[in-house]
Order: sequence, then C-alpha cells, then structure tokens
Amino acid sequence: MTITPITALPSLPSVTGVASPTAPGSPEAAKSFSELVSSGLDNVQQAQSSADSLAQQAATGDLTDLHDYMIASTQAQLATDLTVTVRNKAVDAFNEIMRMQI
Amino acid sequence: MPVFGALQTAASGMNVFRTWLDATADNISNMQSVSLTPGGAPFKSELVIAQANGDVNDTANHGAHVVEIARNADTAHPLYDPTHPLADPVTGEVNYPGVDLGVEMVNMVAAQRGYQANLQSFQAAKDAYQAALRLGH
Repeated sequence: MTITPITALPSLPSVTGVASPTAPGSPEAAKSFSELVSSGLDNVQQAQSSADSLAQQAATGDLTDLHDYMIASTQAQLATDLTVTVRNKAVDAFNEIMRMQI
Repeated sequence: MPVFGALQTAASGMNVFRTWLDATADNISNMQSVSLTPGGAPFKSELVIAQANGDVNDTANHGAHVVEIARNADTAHPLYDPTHPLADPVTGEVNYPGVDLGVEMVNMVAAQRGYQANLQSFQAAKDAYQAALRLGH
C-alpha cells in the first residue's frame, strides 16, 4: 500500500475590495471629538422627536401602524444609549488623565 | 447603510405583512358583498404586490415595500334567487364574490407568520446592538 505524500497548500488568492486606510489629517479624519459628539446628539434629538410625534399620534388615535411607534422609540433608546456610552467613555478617560501623577 | 439599518429593514417587512394581513381581513369581511346594481359584478379579492427596495441584485438598498394592491381576477359565484332585490332581472341570479375562504385563511396565517418573523429579526438586531453597547461597560 502506497501512502500519498502530503502536497503543499495552494497559495491563497489576494484580497481585493479592501479600501486603503485614509491618512490621518485627511478631511475625513479631521473631525474633532466635540464635532462627532454634537452630530451624534443631533441624531439622538432627531430620533427622539420622531418617537415623540408618533407617541402623540398613538395617544390621539391617528397612528396607523402600531409597530412604527415601537420601532421609533427603540431607535431613540438605542441612539441615546450609544451617546451615553460614548460620553461615559470620554469622561472616564478625562478623569483618568486628571488622576495622573506628574 | 445607516447605523441601525437592520431595524429599518425589519420595519419595512412589517409594513408589507401588515398590509397583507389587512387585505386578507378585507377579503374575508367582503365574502358576501354583492354589487349595488342588480346583476353587477361583486367584490373581487385584494392582492398585495410587494417588491424589494431597489433592484433585486442591489446590495445598497434593503427591505421591501408594497407596490400596489391589485384586484384578483376571481370569477363571480352566481346564485339563483329571483326574490332578491339585487338579482339580475333577466336571469334571476345574484352574483356573489368568488372569495375562497380556505385560500384567505392560508394567506392570513402566512401574513401573520411573516409579520412575526420580521418582529423576530427586529428583536435579534436590537439585542445585538444592546450587546455591542454593553462592550463598553
């Protein structure tokens, strides 16, 4: 009985479709943290106000789709959670630096 | 794709299946609806036509939407009843709708299950996003 030798693995095809990383300082990366937070807060405000108007419709009986309100409120909740998490992280980092002994 | 894209996709599916559920309820409620003109054509069942958002092979647009609510071409079901005020004066027949209750019940279950499936994908997406947020704790 002959044992077939183990052959070398075929070479993997090169990965395509991956965008090259943008260099720091390019317009995309130039957004400061405060700008990111304020644009995030704008999004949260938008989600909250759309949930609010749907809640009003639900109360007045004008709501056609019940799930629309639940979806809007879930999105507002998730967006708020995301913003609060980012803010907590930033405050933690700041406190950590303030505690640093020089 | 927006941050919470899966939620919007599930919402579009819910809208489609809610419309279908409404259409089946309408069909069942109009099972005996005859025309107001004697011998006229009766109620024809509604058919919801849904389509994917964007092209079928489009990966940028997600979800589905209702294109139109068409009328089914079901044939009327004539019943001989000459004393009926809405009977055809010549033949003495009243045209009843050709709505098939069995088909409508099956459609209703399918629409209900489709709606529930979209609710489930919404729930899964929400749980995933919340788990991702808990990474920071």
